[in-house]
Amino acid sequence: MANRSESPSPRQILPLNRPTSLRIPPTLVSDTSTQPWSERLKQLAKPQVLISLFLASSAVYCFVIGRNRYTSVSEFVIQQAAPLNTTGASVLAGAAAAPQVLTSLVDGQYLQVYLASADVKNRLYPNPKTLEQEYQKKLPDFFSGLSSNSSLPIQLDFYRKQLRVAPQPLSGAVIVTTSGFTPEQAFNLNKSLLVQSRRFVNEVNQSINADQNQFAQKEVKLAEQNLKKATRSLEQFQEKNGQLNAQTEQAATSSFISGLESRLVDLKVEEAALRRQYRDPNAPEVVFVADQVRELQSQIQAERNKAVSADGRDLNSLAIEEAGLRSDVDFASDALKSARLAADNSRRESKRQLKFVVMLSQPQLSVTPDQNWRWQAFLGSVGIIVVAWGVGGFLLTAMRKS
Amino acid sequence: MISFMDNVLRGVRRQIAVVMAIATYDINRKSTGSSIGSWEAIVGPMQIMLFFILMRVGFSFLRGSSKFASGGSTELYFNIVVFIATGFSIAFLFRNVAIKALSGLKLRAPLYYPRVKPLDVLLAVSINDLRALATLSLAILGLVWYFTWTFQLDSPGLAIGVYLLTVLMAIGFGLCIVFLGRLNKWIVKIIKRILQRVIIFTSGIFFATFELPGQVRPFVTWNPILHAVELFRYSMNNDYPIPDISLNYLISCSILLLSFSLVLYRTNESLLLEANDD
Repeated sequence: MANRSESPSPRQILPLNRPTSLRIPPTLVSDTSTQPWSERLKQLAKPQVLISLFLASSAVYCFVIGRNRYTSVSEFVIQQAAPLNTTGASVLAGAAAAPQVLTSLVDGQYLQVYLASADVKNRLYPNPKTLEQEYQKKLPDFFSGLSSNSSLPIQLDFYRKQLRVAPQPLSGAVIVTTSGFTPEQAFNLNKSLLVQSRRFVNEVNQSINADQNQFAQKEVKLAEQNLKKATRSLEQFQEKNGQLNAQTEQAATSSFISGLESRLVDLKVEEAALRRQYRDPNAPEVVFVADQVRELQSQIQAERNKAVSADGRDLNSLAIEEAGLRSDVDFASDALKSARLAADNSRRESKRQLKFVVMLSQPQLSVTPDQNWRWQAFLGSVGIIVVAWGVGGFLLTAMRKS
Repeated sequence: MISFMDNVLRGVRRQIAVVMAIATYDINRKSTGSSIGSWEAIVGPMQIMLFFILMRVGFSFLRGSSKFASGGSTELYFNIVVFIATGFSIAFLFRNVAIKALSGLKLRAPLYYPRVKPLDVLLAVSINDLRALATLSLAILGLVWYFTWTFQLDSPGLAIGVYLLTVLMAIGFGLCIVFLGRLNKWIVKIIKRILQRVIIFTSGIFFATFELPGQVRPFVTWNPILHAVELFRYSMNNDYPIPDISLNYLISCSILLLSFSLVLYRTNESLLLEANDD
């Protein structure tokens, strides 16, 4: 290196005051082939040269090399049938319309995540090779496209770049934009995504409705079983006690005892009257009535004992037990009625809440390539230079000063 | 033809060198007048931006957790800090450059050299503001992206285009009001007030256009800075809705203002130089 710097350059050897006819043009004098590589690199490493190279290569790629991209756009809204009681004349009509937009917006947001998921990608391209072949790289554009034997995460990332799902908060509509290297690619992908959207909306709705209906039907069955069980218990009770109704029986017994007591009162009055009428208390008329009274009293006592004692018919306990069993039957009947009503409501609501994908704009086959990406990419590279110059310049100056 | 192009290029290069030299001179001058040196250029705007962010976050807390309570939410699309920072970086760029145009010509010393024109001084001061605000915005966006791990810049070309259009519009507006200010100093005061209040509060730093009812929008969409702010946000997230916002309107305003101001400058440049003799 030292020897090279000491040796005179060809320019120094050539005499500068030679005749004009012999003078070599300056472009030939500065023979770059003899310059060392480090010097050439130093000349190239100037900021202006680097920036120009960067911008030129960016422009060449964006406007010459880069493959055409085509887009296809569709727009739809996810709607459910309007509630039956909502009328245009209602004061709350506007308020009722707002949740519709919100519901559609929320559905759109779910859809945004769902359509970009690996699940949908696998459904659209079950074989990873299909995606690779459709979007394979083509020279001279060495950036865009999928290289062969790409990994699944790279494929998913690439798939996500080909679509954009944008729910609109003002209208509740969902805009699906797809891109591809050919118009057909963008169009077909958009159509497939619409199919997937419909499937998603219907599947979710149907599964929710099916779950709701299944639950309601299960409740009805449970209520029916409970009612059957309660009725059977009551029947067994009645069969066991040989009566149809313990309460009626108890009422009849009470009425019978009341009759006896009424008869007893009459006899007692008659006995008192006879005692006043006859001086001898052992007179046959008096004794006859007194015997009737005694007999009636013992009979009433016996009847009472028979009705309530455990050894007898124990009508009180039976009546309480029967009342419990009857209330069980009543409760089970009411529960069954409610369950049937709920099941019917659920069936009707699930029909009413069914959602539909309403198309606002069908995808179209693109005629001209989309130039937007070219300008975005090129201006983005200009932006990199501007930001680097602005921020870098400010930071360097500020640090130097401080 | 080649020699003509060569002359033009040489002239442009020389003018750029002049502007950059004035910008460096301005930075040097300011850094000596402040205890924190050149960082003063970003500390001032940073304080205001943090104040705005705190205000907006405070209002969000007061509004409650319901995102749709006030008719929609920007949080569906942006982190609240990113939302304010994007609005601030555009609206304050315009405000600072336009206000500097009014006060920037106080920087008289470079005008001593005949090659330095008042427009060079204005451009130099604008470049310094652009650099400082760009640094601040990038730092805040970088911090948010670092902490939330959600980098998103859907349309970089649109972002840089909107940023540069705002700078051009601000320079044009600044030049126009410099000449208006020559007529009456009260006009300058009124314009400054309008810049500080009306334009800032209608430029969408705190709100998104889609949050406003359709009947109210015409009261704010006259403001081209609102268009710049909303388009800048849209360029970061293409899902962000921008009803009644138009790039054409922004381009028209920028080009019209810049052209008009350059015509005004060309015909009345001597007015600005005369003031130098005072």
